[in-house]
Amino acid sequence: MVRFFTGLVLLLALVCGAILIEGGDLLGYVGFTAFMIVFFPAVVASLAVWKARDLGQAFRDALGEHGGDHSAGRSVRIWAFYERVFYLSGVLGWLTGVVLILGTRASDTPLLGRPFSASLTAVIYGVFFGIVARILRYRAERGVA
Amino acid sequence: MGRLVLGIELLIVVVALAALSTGSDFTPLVSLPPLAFTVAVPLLGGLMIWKVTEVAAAFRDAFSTEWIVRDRSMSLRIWVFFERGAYLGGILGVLVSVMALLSRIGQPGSVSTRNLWTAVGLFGLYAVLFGTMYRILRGIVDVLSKKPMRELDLTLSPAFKQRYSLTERECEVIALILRGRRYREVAEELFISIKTVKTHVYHVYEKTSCRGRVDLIRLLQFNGD
Repeated sequence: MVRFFTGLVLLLALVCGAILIEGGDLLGYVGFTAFMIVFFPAVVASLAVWKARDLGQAFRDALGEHGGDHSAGRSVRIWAFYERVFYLSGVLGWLTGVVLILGTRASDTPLLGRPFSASLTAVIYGVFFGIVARILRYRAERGVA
Repeated sequence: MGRLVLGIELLIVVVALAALSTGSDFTPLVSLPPLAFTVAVPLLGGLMIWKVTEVAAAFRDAFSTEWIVRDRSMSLRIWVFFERGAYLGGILGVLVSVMALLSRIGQPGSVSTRNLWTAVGLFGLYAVLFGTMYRILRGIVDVLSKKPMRELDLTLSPAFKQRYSLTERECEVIALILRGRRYREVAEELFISIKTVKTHVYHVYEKTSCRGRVDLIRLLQFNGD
């Protein structure tokens, strides 16, 4: 568990470092709407398929108390599901942003850079959460404490 | 090891040819962020899942010059994760980089389309390069774990027989089975019925906790070390 959270912090530090090296603004990467677009569909979709108790067990299987082979199999499926939904939600968020930009600013070509940049936030969140879900899937699969 | 070096050399040659064909030098190809994303993301992710010793064992397996006789499934899983991690890291890097460049459009020292394509190309290049390298390492582990049958030592040592409490008859039967004989052939050779052969084989698998002859061969190799 400690190893997982340490790795997560280092992963975030890596992304922040890359943003700074590339000359980006860290605050530009923080977007609550993008977070909502990526995170909530995944949570709602998973609750439509599994019970809240099963999702809780998936977290426990990935982060600590292993609930046995039966629960591990379900947890692996849950994390694999999360991974795919995160990627898809990211792309969905980006497409929504692009449609909105093109609908309102199509004639304002030089000013398109910043809104296009903001629309990519959802994809970045999607890929990042997707990577984290993949790591949790492997942990659940392995039953790492 | 030789195959790994050959694979890396081939990759470098392909990249060099691509760079030369576009008339550019190699300096722009050296960049820290793509390297960090395609190496650090899989490595960090791997260390979040497996212990350092297990990741180190995967490296040892890939750079080994001898046959791997123990269970190598974890090493294979680690290399599969590394390969996918390199591609995902590359995608994440492209997005971070492109977003940073897009947000600077219209500012002093503005970015051009060329900058954008360079960023995308560099991250893509590193992701493919490292992804392929991890794939080659996975392939090496896979190949090294498939020792040819002719090189396997399939003799049942006295220590092995004693450890698993195998009878002389069970050893005779299983030795023939491991050499590829069919139940009928074993029965004819030892003057026993096919049913008896099957019973002996079943007892051997039960005593050794093996699910079949592949498991038993692996166990023999492991115990032979």
